[in-house]
Amino acid sequence: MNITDRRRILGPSNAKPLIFEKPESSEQEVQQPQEKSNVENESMYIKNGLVSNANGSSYLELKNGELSEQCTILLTSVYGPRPSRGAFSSKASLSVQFKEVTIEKIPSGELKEICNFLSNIFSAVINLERYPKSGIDIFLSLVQNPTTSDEGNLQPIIAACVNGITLALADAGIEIFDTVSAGTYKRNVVAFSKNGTEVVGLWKDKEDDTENNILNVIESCKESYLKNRKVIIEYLIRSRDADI
Amino acid sequence: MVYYAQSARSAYPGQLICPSYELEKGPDSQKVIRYIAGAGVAEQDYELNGQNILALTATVVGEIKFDEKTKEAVPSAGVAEPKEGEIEETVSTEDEKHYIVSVTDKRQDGQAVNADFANNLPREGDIVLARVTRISQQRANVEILAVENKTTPVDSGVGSNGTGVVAAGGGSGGATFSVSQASSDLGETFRGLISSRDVRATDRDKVKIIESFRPGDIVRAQVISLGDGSNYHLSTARNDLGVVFAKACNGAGGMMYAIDWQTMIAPSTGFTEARKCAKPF
Repeated sequence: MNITDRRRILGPSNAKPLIFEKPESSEQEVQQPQEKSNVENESMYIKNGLVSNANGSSYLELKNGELSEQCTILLTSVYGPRPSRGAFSSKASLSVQFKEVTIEKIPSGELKEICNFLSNIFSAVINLERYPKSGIDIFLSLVQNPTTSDEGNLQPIIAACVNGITLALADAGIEIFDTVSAGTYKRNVVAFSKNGTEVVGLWKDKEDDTENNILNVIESCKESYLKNRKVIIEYLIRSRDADI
Repeated sequence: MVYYAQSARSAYPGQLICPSYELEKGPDSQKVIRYIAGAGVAEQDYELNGQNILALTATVVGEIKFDEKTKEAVPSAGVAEPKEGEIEETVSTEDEKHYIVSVTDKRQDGQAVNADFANNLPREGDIVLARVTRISQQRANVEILAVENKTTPVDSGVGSNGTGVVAAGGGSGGATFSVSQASSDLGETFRGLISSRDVRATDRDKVKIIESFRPGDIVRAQVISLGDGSNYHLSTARNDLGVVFAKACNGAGGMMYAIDWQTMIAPSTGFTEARKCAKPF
């Protein structure tokens, strides 16, 4: 890591982290998110705006069915629109970066593929014409990944990424044409927009021969898409009403 | 079903608000209602019940607002007889009504300053507040700090060399601003430049930048073009544009006040400095 990070003001090299006493109410805090998640959806916990220096951010916790102890945790932050240097462009340029924060299980080639896939989806979804001469940067941090490395199973992560980016963009107030969400079926992910009438992205995990009927896949993904979309919209509307 | 009369409701990105056109049927007449996409709204092709329609959808989370667009009374030289013109206008508005549909965040509604710079990026004709970062003989480089939200016509109906009184913000007084949250230390602000030809409207070729701006000054300027990749092109060639805040002695002294359009005075010392000042009223 010798690339200097210009986005943050780094502290002095000899800085030491602050250590606080353990709060007494730690048990309660752990309890709280679980309570909320029961109300929203059995498998998804959403919280927007946790990253204070980003324009918008979302935090997603996904329970993967039977593996109730292990869950996927994804933190998405959106920066921008900020000025892009270089050649003039009448549209905003989009960049997506995906990173595993704790244990790196996904090979770098696959990471690149994920980023391309996601930036293709969201180039079509963000109203890029609205932001000339600027860049929008999306950073995804996978905090917890329950799948093991040999499985090569990216499908739950990609679905979480699509949902996380949509939430973060909505939190940032960046104009998006639709509340895009993704649904999964077996080892496929399909991202839809316009209430399921348009497919904006399709992902198939490698070595997947469990399901080859594409129409069947899309229909099955649509079901889970509609469920996810409903949760996202409910969260957005409710968190807005709570703020006022 | 009349969409504009519906009570305010919350919207999420992608929510259908209304079709682009609507026919309002009265007891003995009918009107075409045209809905125009405003801030936070996009016009899209939408498939609904197997039918393709052109509809307005929300693009941000917020509250839907319908504003009736009244025909602007533009005082043009050609209209000598206002009575006839008025009749014509009322006839045309009866046939077709225009509504601007927008989705806005209620939290930032009606405040003088809001943080939503992202959706108010500088456009051509916008008035911006900018800080001068460096000057040369040909140009002044600035960084854009805020965009004034209510845009005025390019010359507010008065000649650009000012034959009338132009109030800051276009007459009504209350200008609102979208303030950029980017830190200038990190080089993340939008940058602009004021070419020496665009400093004032008269004697353009005799302008000396050093007698117009100094680094650190806060300048009210108008965006004349989006410019190139790195800079917006700004102009202060108007009476109400120019330096609004400046400190004496390159920032070492106190606040100065404009005494005429090209002089500012530091009240504590009595020294004057040359600036291209904005008319404050």
